[in-house]
Amino acid sequence: MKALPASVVAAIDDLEFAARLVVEGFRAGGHRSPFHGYSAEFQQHRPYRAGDDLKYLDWKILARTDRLYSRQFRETTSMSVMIALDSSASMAYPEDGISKFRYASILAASLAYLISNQGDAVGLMSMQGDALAYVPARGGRVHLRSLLARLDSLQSGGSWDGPRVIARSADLLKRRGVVIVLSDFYDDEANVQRELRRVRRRGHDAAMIQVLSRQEITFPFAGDVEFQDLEMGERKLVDAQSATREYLASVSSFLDRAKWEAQRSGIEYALATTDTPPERVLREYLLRRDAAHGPAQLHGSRA
Amino acid sequence: MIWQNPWAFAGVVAIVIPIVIHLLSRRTARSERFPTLRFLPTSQSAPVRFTRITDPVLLLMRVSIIALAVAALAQPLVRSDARTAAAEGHVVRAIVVDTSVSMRRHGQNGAPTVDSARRVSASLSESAAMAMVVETADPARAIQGAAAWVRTQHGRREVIIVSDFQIGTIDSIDLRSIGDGVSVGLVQVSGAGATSAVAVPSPVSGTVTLLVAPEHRAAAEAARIAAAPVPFDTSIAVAIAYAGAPDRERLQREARPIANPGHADIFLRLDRDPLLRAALEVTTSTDAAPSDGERPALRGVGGNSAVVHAARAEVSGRETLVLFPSFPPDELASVVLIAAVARAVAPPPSPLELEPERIPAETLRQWERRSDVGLKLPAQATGESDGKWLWLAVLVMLGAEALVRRRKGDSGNAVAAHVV
Repeated sequence: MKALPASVVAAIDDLEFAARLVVEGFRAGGHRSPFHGYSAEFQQHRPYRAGDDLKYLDWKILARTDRLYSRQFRETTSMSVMIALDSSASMAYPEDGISKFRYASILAASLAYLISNQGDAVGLMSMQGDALAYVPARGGRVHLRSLLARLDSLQSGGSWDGPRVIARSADLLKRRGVVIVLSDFYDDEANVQRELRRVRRRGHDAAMIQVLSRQEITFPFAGDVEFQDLEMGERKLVDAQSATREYLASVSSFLDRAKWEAQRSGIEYALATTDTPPERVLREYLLRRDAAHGPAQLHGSRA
Repeated sequence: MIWQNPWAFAGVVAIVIPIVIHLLSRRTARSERFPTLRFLPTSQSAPVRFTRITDPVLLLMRVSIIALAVAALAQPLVRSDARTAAAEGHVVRAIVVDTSVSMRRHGQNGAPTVDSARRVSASLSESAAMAMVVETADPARAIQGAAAWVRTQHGRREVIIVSDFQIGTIDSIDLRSIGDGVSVGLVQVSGAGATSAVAVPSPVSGTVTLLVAPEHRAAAEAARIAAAPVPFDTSIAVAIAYAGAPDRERLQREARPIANPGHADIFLRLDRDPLLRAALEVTTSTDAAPSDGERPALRGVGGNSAVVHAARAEVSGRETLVLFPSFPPDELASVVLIAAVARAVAPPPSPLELEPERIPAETLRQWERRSDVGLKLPAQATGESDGKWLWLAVLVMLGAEALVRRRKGDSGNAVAAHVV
């Protein structure tokens, strides 16, 4: 099934419905969530060893073959995921078309939907003005709806204290979990990276989904343009044509740096542009996560 | 393409105006809200760059408008096949008809050659769209004027000369003055056939009378025979009244100033006759000559205190040139005088009847030419022009320029900014 274009998904007012569409599209591709679900999921057989829990013994194979085999399952520990969403003014770009904030909201909603349906806990962290606004990580359909409603009510504007949001998100994870940050990561680059590394050190997984618009990557401007910073209000007059080269080099360097720092620190990284179907972004991120984490620890077969 | 008003191209200097305006204009920058400025190069103050043209597309449109307008004002005319064909069919002729003396000779039909030339001229006029006929005894001189007139006309232009083309009528230099763009035709008409006599008016009968005293009659006759062995052939009545002649005193009294042109002509010939002047110089006549002061009507021959006077008087009821010599008829001076009179009164020799030499026909064929250079279209005479299409293009370009200008103004909020 072809992925729905970002413009179509973004045009859907109901965030829950949009998220469901994205997730259904993802699932229709035969993908499964790497956020390990609670239900015991059979993985493989292995010969019975002394000390294995007898409830995992496969009696059918014993009856057929007279041999003892234990069933192995995927990690049955449920996870908590905190989704940190950047709601600063820079996320409002572009102001005509699909803004980064809207796009990131859809991604966040899709992730929340997917995680919740897997039986895991999902929460939301953002800022409204100078104050943190969050929904703690919980499971259940009612909680999901509440979270999506909260997500839908968020507005982009002002600035975003990335390190503070990330640190608080990690604090709210009672057990091993994942902090997924959706942002353009323009602000306080070094401290954000530092905080994400701290999240890792605390035993959680950290993920960066960098959301940018196509214009920010390609800089399709010409002539004399006076740029105004959406957050700070600063203005800068530029001969766009002659500035293009320097701009593209700077952006490329910025993106490479973010990716490299993330990889170096064991942080999952994905770049999403607002013209990419959300389902594709989801798929690529989750597949990468799946490949990175490999087979999970098993309940009865701890090595 | 013909440009009927090439001076309009001087207006092309107006193209400089929009170029200068675009170079000097303050550039307006559009405003763009952007997530971050961290990747943009730092703004720098820089001098205004006059070498940078703003809005090259708009400038190109404006330059095109001016260029099209200038071209339209220059009144272009496309030399299409249809127009060229119309010009070819529109013949304009200047016809020069030779009416010199040689053309008065009679042709085989008995009529003067000039009549044949006029018939040819009429035929050529009728076959042309426009024609001018010049009758002149000097075709070489008339050619320039005819060519000047025909060059002001449109269509196929021709100068035709109708003449017997006697040698000297025209030459190649005269035809060269016609210039390019005009065809030259030479139509030869001739009074070929038997030569006819040129009518020469017959002289009026006249006499030379010697008035002498009776005792000098023989001497006078001898002097006449010695001076003019043949009878006088004159159209003028002349008398020589010697001293002692019976009527001399009466004639002197009745003498009047010379008024007859024929008399004056004879007097002048006598006055200039070298033999007579020489003879009168050495004459030692004692006959009292009346002075010019006493007889104002008398004119001295030779100019000094003349020994021969002349006046007009009536002799035998006829107005006569009377000469009053102061020497007798038997003097040598008298013989010289009579001889001079004989020479003075002799009629002019009749013209020889010769067949005039003509310019060979091959030469005339070589001088003829047909010219298509600078063929003027009849449309040029009516002021027709294809400039209307260029004006239409100007209107279209003006509309396009307004549209482009409006769109540039609507894209974002234009902010007047200093050039950096």
